[in-house]
Amino acid sequence: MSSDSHNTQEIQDSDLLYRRLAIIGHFTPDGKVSSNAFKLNGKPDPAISVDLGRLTTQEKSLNQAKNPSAIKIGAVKAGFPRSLHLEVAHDPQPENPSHSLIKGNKTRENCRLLAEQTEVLATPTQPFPPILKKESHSGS
Amino acid sequence: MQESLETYLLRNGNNLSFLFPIVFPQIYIPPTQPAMRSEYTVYVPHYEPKLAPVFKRFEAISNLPQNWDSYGSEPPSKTALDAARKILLYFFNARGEQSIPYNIVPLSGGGIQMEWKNKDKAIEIEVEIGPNLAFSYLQISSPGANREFEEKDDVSEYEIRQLIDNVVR
Repeated sequence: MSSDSHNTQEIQDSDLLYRRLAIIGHFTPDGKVSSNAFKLNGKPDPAISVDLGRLTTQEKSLNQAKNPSAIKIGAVKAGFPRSLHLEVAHDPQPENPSHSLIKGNKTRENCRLLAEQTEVLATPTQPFPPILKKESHSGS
Repeated sequence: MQESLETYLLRNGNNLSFLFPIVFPQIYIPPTQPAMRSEYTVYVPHYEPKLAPVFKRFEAISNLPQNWDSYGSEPPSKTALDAARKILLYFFNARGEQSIPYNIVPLSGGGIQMEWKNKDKAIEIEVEIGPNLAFSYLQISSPGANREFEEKDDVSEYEIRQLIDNVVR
């Protein structure tokens, strides 16, 4: 991928970063984001692709997917990955000027923390049913 | 060659075999990979309703298409799915309903991730099974702001089972 450095923008801590989340695969039974949303090939994704929210819309981010109906958008403020000592950089692409990267992710702990801080912008319309009834589950 | 799960465990030096009941029904589940046919027989109790949603989830995950995550991932491999099912059944036979994972999700690259939580012990574990049976984990202990994280790549299946057992027992 080559980036167009002429259009590269500075990302503020308060900027929202959009991450596409698969309804079937990236959610916990209670509708929160699972840590696997930030993993690549079974390991922490070292360059997490996101969209800079102020340069796009939720719909445009969704339409980056082949099947937008199977996807939801999660958002995290750029300041949070920076608080984990990760780099957040605008990386515009010809087909996606809002494309950005969260770089330097090397731990599953970071994946978990990023997932916990990611807010789903719309509740999945078909959330994955829980495996256990909530009252009988031994977890939180 | 069929052998009892208990025999398999003893043969492989797993000291959890004493947990198994003396007699319970056995159902042979043929593995999908021919190379695994000489391994162990998985015991499944007579139809267990509590396992139905779990296997429904496995089915949904196994039917995921290419690029299910919109970032180009392939669906979980049969190898990873089989391994995940076997671990699930191992613990269900040993520990019952409390061993059912809190969450089962696919991993980018063809693996499976299973998660267990124990609120009483304030401990959680995320287990990753790679498409070619590489095991990794993230363990989280102590609640609140002082959570402790421990993670490790490429551990043995035996160690993974020990860690899971620590959460579900």
